[in-house]
Amino acid sequence: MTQSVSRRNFLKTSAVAATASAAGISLPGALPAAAQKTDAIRWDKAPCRFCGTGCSVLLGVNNGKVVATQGDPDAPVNRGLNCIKGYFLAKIMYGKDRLTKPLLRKKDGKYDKSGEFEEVSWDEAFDIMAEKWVAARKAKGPKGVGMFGSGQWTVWEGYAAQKLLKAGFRSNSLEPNARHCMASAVGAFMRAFGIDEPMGCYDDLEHADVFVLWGANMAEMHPILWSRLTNTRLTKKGSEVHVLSTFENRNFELADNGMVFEPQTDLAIANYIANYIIQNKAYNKDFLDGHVNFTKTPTDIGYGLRGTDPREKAATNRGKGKLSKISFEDYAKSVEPYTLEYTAKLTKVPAEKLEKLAKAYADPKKKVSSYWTMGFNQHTRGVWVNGLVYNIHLLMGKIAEPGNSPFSLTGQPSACGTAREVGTFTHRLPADLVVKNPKHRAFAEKIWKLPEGTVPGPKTSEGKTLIHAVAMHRALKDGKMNCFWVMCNNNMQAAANMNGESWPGWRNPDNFITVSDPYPTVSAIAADLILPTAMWTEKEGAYGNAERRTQFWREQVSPPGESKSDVWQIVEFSKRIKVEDVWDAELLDKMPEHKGKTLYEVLYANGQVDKFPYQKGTVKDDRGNEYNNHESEDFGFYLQKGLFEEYRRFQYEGPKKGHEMAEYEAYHKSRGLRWPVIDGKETLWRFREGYDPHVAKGEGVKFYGKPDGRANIITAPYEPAAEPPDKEYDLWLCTGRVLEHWHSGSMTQRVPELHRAVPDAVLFMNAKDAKKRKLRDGSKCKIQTRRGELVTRVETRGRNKPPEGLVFIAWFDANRLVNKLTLDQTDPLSKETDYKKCACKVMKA
Amino acid sequence: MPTGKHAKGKTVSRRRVLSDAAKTACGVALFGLAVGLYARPSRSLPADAVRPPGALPEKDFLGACVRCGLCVRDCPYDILKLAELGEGVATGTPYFTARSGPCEMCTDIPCVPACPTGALDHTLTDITKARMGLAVLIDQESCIAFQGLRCEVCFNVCPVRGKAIKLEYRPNKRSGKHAVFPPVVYSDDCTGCGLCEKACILEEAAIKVMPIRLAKGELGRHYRLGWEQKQKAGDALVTPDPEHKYNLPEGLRYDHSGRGLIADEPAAPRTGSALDTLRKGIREAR
Amino acid sequence: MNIAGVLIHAYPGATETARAALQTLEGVELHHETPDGRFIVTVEDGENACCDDTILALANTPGVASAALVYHSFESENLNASAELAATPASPIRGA
Repeated sequence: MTQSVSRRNFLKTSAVAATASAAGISLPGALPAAAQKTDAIRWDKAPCRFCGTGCSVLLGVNNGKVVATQGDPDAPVNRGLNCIKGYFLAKIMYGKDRLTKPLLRKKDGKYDKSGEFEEVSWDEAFDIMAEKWVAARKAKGPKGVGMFGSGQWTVWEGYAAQKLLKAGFRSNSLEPNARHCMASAVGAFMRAFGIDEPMGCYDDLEHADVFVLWGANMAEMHPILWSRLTNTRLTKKGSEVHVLSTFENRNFELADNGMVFEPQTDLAIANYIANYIIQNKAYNKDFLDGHVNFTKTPTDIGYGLRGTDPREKAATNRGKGKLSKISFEDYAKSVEPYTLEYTAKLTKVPAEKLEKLAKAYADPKKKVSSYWTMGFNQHTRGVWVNGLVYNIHLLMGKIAEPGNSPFSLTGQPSACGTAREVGTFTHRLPADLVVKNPKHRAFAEKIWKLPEGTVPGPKTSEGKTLIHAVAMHRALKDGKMNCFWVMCNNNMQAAANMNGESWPGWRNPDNFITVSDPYPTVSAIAADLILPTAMWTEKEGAYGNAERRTQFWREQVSPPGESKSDVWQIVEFSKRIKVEDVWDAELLDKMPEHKGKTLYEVLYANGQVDKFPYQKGTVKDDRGNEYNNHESEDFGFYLQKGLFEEYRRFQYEGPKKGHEMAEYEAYHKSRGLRWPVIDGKETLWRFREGYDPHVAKGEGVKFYGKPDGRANIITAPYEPAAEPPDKEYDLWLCTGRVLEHWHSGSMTQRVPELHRAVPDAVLFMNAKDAKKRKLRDGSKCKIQTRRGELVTRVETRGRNKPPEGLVFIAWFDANRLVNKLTLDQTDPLSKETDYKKCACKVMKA
Repeated sequence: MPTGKHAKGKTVSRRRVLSDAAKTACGVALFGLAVGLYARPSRSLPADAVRPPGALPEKDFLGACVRCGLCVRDCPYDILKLAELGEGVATGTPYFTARSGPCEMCTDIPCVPACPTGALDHTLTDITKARMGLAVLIDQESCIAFQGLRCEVCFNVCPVRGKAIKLEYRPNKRSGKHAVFPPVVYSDDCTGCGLCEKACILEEAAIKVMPIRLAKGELGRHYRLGWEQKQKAGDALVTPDPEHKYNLPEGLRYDHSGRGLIADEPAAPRTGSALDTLRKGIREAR
Repeated sequence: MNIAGVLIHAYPGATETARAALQTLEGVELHHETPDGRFIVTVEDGENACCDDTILALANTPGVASAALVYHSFESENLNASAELAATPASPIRGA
């Protein structure tokens, strides 16, 4: 923006000068007024709005508008650098089509699902919403209402939603879009270590000798981390980069050992490496003896499809994941079939490349860091395959120390900080507590000052309560859920099988869909009520990145029009709901003092969340600049601080240690702190004596998430994908992202320069496959799956080079809804969708 | 193409403004001055006008082109235009402007066979051999990739992927732990299509397509780059040396072909238990 | 982006009228005024006003004797065209 503003001013100056000289008028002063309006810019810090890397930026605000940004030179993650999305951060809030007023579908002055959107007041919006929500909760039980939040929510937005749904509406129907993104990683962390999130940190990028990328196109998706990895590769003697992917991507430009494997066979590759380590007796016996248990997981578990699907009926252990103990010998035997020959044949990776990779892991002198993202997580065996890499690191003892790090990267800026740490999943509570544990529920009720039994367990007299993201769309379609509130994400574009599930679910006449968003996304178009939302630095916020770093920012500019932040919307909405509407009499009798109150009074004005006073000028930086806080101004107390400090009690008083964060104000002073933060000290590597305050002297290594302090090696075999190509649908379809756009493109597609750089999603295809179909570079083509089709252009020369038999397309493009094509298959354990593998055919259009 | 229509609409309305304004202007002389002044800030066309693929050298091209417009008609992407009076390009000749509409590099190059006179060379059948101009990274100071930001849009859109534009990785000395990914154009493979210029995310593109004669330096004909000559020949031009042998203390090697003296890696610091150390010692000795 | 520099002559004695009227026009900014009733203004596109139309309207503004366009800078604005993308489904792909 600033450049175009200054360009405009420059042109005006020229215009005035030229006009004056033509008329023979001499102007007093060198410049006209227009050019002199360069008031001082106020700079303050904020984490980037996009990926899970967590770069810090400095925002320049002038006259109430973000006019410039810069990479924060003092931020340890990025040291002043940004990727191209970060470069354009100043523009994401200023798309021309910002939503500024609540919009409700109406006909003849009344709400009507088949009506057109009309502007309404916040009062009218919340009144109709409250009416619908109360009715749905009463008629359909805890699953009658649901909320779909985000790993882009701020920490307190997630926490406020957690309270509203689980304690207020007494419903566990709360899910984040992180279900599509990180659920498999979480499942594997919990199974192997009993505690979520990586043990290492980004410093591993400088300490490792060997980097292995398993299904993470870091070059494009975590650009600044890739920059650090590249620097290590360039400057560190003997360092090497191994890349595994189902197609050649930009990582391969740096790879010493690039491997393109047949989709789904990553399971076999990981088992081959374990087998190699065991066969060569390279494993670290002391480590195994001291810190590891061996277990196995049930096999043939299905694909998370609807129960009526023949593939589900055929599964012998559908959805099962209970671990049983085995011996080291049992484990060794379970990986024995994964010989080099077998694995090379199955995976189509040359044997010498596989062996090179195995040797790198097995070399006791080499420090190995493994990275993965959606290639592993969006996988019908995602929890398994995450675990198989932990197996390798545990076998070698290459874990929880500088450079030796299995590292699950995150896709969203606060998938860790909000979705995972606050636990905005149907089955979770803050700080790694779970709904199914009655003690955990009771602890949450105690902190929240609510009667015992408020938070519903998995099974109640009103029925089962747990419902994951994909099941929510199914429940909407089946009419079991009638109210759905989508915040801070674009699930109509993001959820798989849009034609079959999402669209019929949202447009089901029985249902009332609310979408909170700054922009008219595909989701907003499919909604009944749209709430205009303050984004990013239009509110005070906190994000937590992939290396456990919590970062805060202040409200830099005011939201446009009547937009309000998500946390404001949640808390304000709670004022409309009477406790009697959603709690039964029996529960209310346990705390009769709550009778007649609203959820606002019970959940937020509860003497804890509202204990920090707020007045204008409360939020100030150390340079004396004052900042607004539109929520606190409206509610009359420092809302964010109150929510955060109550949340922090889960970390300090809860049954699970290791999640401790510093007090609120500390984060406004620093570029983030990596938890656990004990006595002001951050933790870089967890589970290791000296680095982690929870590991006592003399213990060496302790996986304290598990009661016996030992991590699990979990054996799991290769099992085929749900929908491999066949004669008719003869290609693998893989979906993903590009560097220039983020997720569904709702922000980056509104930055003209980014749009110009990559305007459309094209189909990356092998030139030979294209030729066979009489297509060439740039040809219009139709992609068809069993669920839908779309038209785009073929790209055979681009940045991604698929092997024969596979095509790749990015999903950011609202004009080409890629999720009409994808299958709503999930990992049966993590319930995370596999967007990387389904069958398609491609023809001339 | 919405951009094309947009631009045309603007041109028309600008003319209307000028002619209408002229009627109300207080004097013809002042109007003349106005035209002169308005023309100055508008961009000079010839510098960013690029000829279609296969165009003969400019002088020959002007002689051969009959201004028939057939190439323009056959361009499937409508990026070619015929120059109009006052645009700075010989009137009626075809050109395109990379920033607004670059050559999409059709593999069948429909514009070339359309040319009835050979002003577009009919022997050009492989679009990657076209030399419409040469992309030049003209401003390293504003190119954000040179500052270590992860942009690389020009590299990513380049249709002669990985050849015409390469990223030359180097460590970022300022940050100390990141790398820099600056794009470098190679004239052997750049077709001058202009996709990079169009995609450049800066307000004013840092990479621009220029006529080859302006864009390219030329090495003195008396000197050649040895490593390139060797690569071209596939082998050394003069037979390489027999193997070298050296007097060296134990633990040191010498690599003739570049790395020089190599010391074996120092032993890792001893951290584990006594048993660890003992085992490690044996493994390393073997 | 359209920016024009326009020289305006007010009718003798109508300077006040002209000034007041010019100040109400959208996209018009007064930069300089001479004692003999000449104004230097810039005109740019406003939310509801096209620069071209505004220039034409200047001549018919009360108190204005003549308006002469002296400078017109015109820069392509198609960079912003894509911001409307979401509202227009099925936009053509690369160059199509």
